[in-house]
Amino acid sequence: MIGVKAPRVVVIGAGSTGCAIAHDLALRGLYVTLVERAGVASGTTGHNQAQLHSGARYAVNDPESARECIEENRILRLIMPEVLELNDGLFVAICEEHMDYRSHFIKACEACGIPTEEVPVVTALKMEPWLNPLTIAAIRIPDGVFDPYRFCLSFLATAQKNGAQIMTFAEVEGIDLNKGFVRVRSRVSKEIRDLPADVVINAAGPWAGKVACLAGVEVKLEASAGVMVTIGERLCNMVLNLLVPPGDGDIIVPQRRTSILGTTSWEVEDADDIPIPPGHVEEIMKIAEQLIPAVRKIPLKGVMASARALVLTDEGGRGASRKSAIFEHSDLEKAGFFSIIGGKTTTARGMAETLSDKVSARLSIQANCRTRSEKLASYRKATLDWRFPE
Amino acid sequence: MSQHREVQLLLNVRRNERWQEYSVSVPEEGYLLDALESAGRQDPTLLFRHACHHASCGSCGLQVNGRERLACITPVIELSRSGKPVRLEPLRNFPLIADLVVDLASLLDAFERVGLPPIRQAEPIYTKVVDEDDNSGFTRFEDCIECGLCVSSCPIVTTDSQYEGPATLAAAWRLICEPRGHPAGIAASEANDEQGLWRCHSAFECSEVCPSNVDPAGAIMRLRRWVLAGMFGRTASKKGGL
Repeated sequence: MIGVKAPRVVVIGAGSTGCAIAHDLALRGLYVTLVERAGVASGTTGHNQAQLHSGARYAVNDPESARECIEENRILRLIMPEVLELNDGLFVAICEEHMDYRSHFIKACEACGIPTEEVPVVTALKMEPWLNPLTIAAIRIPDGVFDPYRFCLSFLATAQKNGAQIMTFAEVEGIDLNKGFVRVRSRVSKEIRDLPADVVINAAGPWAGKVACLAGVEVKLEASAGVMVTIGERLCNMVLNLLVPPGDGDIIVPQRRTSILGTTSWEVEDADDIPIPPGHVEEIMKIAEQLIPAVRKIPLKGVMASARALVLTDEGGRGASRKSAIFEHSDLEKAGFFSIIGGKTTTARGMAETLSDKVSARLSIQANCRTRSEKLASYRKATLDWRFPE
Repeated sequence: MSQHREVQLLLNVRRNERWQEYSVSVPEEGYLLDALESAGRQDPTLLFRHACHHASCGSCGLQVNGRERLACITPVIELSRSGKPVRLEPLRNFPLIADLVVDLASLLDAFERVGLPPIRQAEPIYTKVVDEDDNSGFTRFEDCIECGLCVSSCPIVTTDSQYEGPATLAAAWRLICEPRGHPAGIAASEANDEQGLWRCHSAFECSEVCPSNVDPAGAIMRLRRWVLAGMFGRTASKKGGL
């Protein structure tokens, strides 16, 4: 149980990062309140491509992210099996050009500790009957599929079990670090209250800049949007990737009885308003067709776009690392203020661990991270309240 | 590059005790959720729930012109055809939180009670089935996305909230078909009690509105046959439910 004197932390944002942080800090015995302006996973996490990364995709260009992915991938299999479809993934070569990348790819995976297995083409076509019959090589890697919404709910359910309070439809109106509170307005009851905080954590994804502004500090990030196309049939058992350096539209993620194709990448100004640019759906279909020629025969089920928050580097777009960054903004103020941006849903738990270590240090509390082995509660146990915590 | 065309929609949204109209413009290949998000930008006080935008999370269920739908996969082009305002209301048979947001906790509690594991064995994904065992190693999520559309559409739940309802009964049938180490007896007795499968009046609304291929009405009918066969000491086929 949480002591009355436990330090108070307010986490802003119920995406994968915020939910994993709420879980980690609640497990360390802190009094956690998570506030979310809309529903759980209503931002970047909710509409992502649902790929549990093995890291293989990043092995060649960004080995650090790749190592992080495979480590987290292994942990998530242990702690949240009920929100994962674990059928592995295939990297598929269709032409000689792809074959040039093959040995490079396998070596890089090996160096990052990502197991690879060359699957004979005949076997691959038996496992994946819709796969392009021109396939000349297939490499199996431990990718998977998750349900991003349930992913967040599992963390929340466990955090709640450990005393955390979750408040949805709660807009942050102001952050006062000197007095140590976060001003929150319930979008349901319209009531405004100040939630006391020893530490405030900004996990608002592409909206992190706006949240930081409320505390009078600046966070720079790039909102990079991506389009995903869902078709109304499942055409593969495993996650299919083209055996090429990471590019647009080169992944098909099966989920339930659908397939999610994607994605693209371009910079957007407003993460709340992302119209689907003309041509993107066609571009995605054209590349997905290389993996599974039948994709065009299946009716579209939905088209979506969301913005990822990328850490600003000199390069932009896919050149930039998908790594996360943590900024500690305050040292003299009464309340600590941290922003965490970037990263992937797959690595959310690891990001939460790094951040929570810093929060523990700031609060001078001795508490080790326990989220690596703590099995999460059922996502169905999460209570989505909109009321202020008692 | 295709010509970018917009459609104009008039959304008539039930907001607690009153109705409010929103005029929005959405790309013609867009979905009702895009229209709702546009209304939400005009009026940040409008509340609705959404997450995945592709019928996987089950959070954007609502009534569209009296019919249960997921906003994220309802094409706007279909709604613009009549030229009439689109009537949007929250799901029925769940406690209202505000505007289009309802509390689905009772549904999730029921799923926990029945104990349906969210992961199932995958069936062969191709139509030209060669050998059913080919796919034996693969798994996938259960079809049910736990969105509550079937519960909202069920006329029996509307008249008596004690009734187990279509989602729970479909979950019980899935568990009987594929027990995965769980005792099917719990699901069976839950389904067969006085608030269970015999109360269904075969309106089939649940299967009509299900956005995720669950066919709860079919599951209830198969459950009845299975329970009856058990009573008379015969074995019934589970086929058709798998």
